[in-house]
Amino acid sequence: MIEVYVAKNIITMNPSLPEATAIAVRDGEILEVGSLESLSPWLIRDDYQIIETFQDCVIVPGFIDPHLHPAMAAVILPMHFITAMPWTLPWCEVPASLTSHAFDQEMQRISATVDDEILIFWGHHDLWHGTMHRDRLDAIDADRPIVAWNRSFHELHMNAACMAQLGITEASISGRAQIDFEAGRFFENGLAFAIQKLNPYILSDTRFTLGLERLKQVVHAGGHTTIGDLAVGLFDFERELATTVKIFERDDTPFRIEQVPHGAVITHNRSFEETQTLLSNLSSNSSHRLNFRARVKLFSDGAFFSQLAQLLAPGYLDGHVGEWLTAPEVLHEHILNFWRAGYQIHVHVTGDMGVEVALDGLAKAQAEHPRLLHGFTLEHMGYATPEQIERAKGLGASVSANIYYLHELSGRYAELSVGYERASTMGRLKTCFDAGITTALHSDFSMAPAQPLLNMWVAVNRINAQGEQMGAAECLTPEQALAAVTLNAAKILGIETFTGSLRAGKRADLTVLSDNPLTVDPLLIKDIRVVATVFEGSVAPIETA
Amino acid sequence: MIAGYLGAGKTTLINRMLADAVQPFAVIVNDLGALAVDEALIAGQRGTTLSLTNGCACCQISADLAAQLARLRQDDFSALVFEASGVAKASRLAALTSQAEGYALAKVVTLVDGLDAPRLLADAYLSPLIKEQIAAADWVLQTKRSKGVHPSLAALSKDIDQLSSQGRLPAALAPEYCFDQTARLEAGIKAPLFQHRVIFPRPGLAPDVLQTFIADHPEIERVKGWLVGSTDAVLVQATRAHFQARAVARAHGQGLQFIWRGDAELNFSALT
Repeated sequence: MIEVYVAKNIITMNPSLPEATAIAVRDGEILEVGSLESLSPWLIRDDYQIIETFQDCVIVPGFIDPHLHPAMAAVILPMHFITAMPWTLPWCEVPASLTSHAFDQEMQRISATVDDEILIFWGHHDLWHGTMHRDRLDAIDADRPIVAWNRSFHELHMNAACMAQLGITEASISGRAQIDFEAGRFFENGLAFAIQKLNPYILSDTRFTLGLERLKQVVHAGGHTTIGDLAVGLFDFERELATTVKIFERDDTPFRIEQVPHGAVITHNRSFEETQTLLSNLSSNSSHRLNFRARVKLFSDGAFFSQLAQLLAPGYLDGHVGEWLTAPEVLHEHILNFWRAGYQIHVHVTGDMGVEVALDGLAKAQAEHPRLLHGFTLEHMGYATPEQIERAKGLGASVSANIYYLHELSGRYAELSVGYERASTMGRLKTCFDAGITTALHSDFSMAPAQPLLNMWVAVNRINAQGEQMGAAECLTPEQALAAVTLNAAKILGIETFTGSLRAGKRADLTVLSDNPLTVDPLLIKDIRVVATVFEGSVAPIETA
Repeated sequence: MIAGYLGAGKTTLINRMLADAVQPFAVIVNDLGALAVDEALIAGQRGTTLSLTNGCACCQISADLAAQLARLRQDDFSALVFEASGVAKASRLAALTSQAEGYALAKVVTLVDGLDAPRLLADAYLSPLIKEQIAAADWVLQTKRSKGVHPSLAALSKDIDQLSSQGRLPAALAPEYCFDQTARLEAGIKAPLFQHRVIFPRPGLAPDVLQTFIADHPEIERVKGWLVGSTDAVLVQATRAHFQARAVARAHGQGLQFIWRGDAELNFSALT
């Protein structure tokens, strides 16, 4: 049986046939893309069914987010969101709570409807919601443990019942910095103390499983048919393997996960030969939806949100320096080992000095053992100079960028972190495209919303949270942005032979949209609705609230 | 906490501390490199070693560190030596670990490779880190170079000592020495496992008087320091199993250090 999907437009990302109106699918595989007329040689040879559900919609290749972190998301998603910005979550619509009163009302409302052992709210922000205090949480319910976690994640408040439940007393925290017992406030380093107490709860099997179930909904709602888990082992390698198979290797999961192991974890206490044996076993035991391949994730410099990116001169406004997540010489050693063994190497780089060290490693590897089409990828790439982008091109590197940095942080970073020039040119993506580098977008979820259309909107318009356009010369065209969440993202994961575009022979991974992202007003790209996805020929509708 | 860049000698130092240990102490290695702490020493009940495999320095939701710190508290160790990752900023890690319940940070010792220092300090990628590790330390020790503190390091700080690769470690590197009464009380531990005191024995005290004193007081675990004569001095190194006294040209005037178990006072009048 052949299924024929017809649509207003089908954007194929296949340069030889960029647009079409019908697509024939059999057994999860695309037979042909074209029009109802051009498909007839197939249709006269087999039974077929024309699917008209999407005839007023636009079909694009299934979205691919080549870099997110399911394990990290699993920790946050079970929390109750109360945020200044509205969030669309598949299980609830989070309204914008713009005042202190609105925040309290939401806490009250949620408190009355759920019976969590510890009630955790996420999203409190002083600018909108006023000062938090344990008395304020006690006023919601003095008898049940409540935590209000700050939007930044670097601070939380808990009420007296929560402290009692976790065994936190005034004596047990006396003298510790960055804890205010009276206010129930734990921040920065003091947060570590609170997290230590909360860990058994937030990392419990029940919540972790719930978090992954929710992630499944988030990924689907974003319109993805493939995601990359770009550091399997971030928390616990064995546990992540076991849990992801249980939650995701099921018929109702409408996407695949490309698994890229955390290099430092996978090589820990193993010879490189043992590491290779382990990884090749994992690859050959890959299941249908969960796949290891010859890929590895390495880390260069620190977190972008924490201003720990390593910067070349002139550095940060306040003179602080970033951090290395891996010593440069150790990173180079890992790069060389995996390079010689033929791996596709992904390196987390946030600052331009982090980029420099990664490219130094790639240059060494190329000098010793030249490779073509190796897929070495700079991940995130908050800051990079135009000259580094030329060098990356010369060495054959690809780029997978977190462009949401620009939206969320460029306004504040211009004032407080690095000054306007560098803040406005973070995510220098037009330069990457112009250089001919394979360039993709990712969310790094839960660092940014897992919504490819939102990331496309940022890449095309470069509008920050304050509504100001930043670095107009680096705006992508809508075509480039769409490539960055489809075909280019497939190349980043090394799976472009079977997904990422729509052509005969690829798997039938489609995303169905309410409008055409290439022709709508670019400012409206983020408002396009994801109607459904098709994963390997199976339709998975997306319910909207 | 032992900090310092790769190759500074952190693991070597910890192995020497384990070999010298009077009382088992715990070691946590915050690095994803090979675990190089001497397994034979661990097997010999000198301590327990745990390796942190969580490499996400930007994320505090680490079940690993919290769980291991909590587990170690069950084991009744008197001290914990934390080997920082080679790229860790000592100040940040110190702030983080000092929040752990039941623990108090006694001191940060940073090691610097005296032979490699010129290269590291000239390396644009690494010199800010090396300088931070030095600045954040309570005590900086140069390793590997025997010909005095390298000028490039001396220029950074006047207070850099040399750590010899031979012989016994300085007393102040004994974990139980670091772990003083104040720190224990801050950590909420009431009865001290150990006390330590430096006394100044009367001039000319004979080594065998000291040896007898140690034998008569089974709570004494460790004695080290100098007995000063009129023209010479005797360097004493003693544990319960071993008493060594040898003549040296001159005393350093630091007295004699005792480490003993329990919270009872010791009467030193027989020696002073």
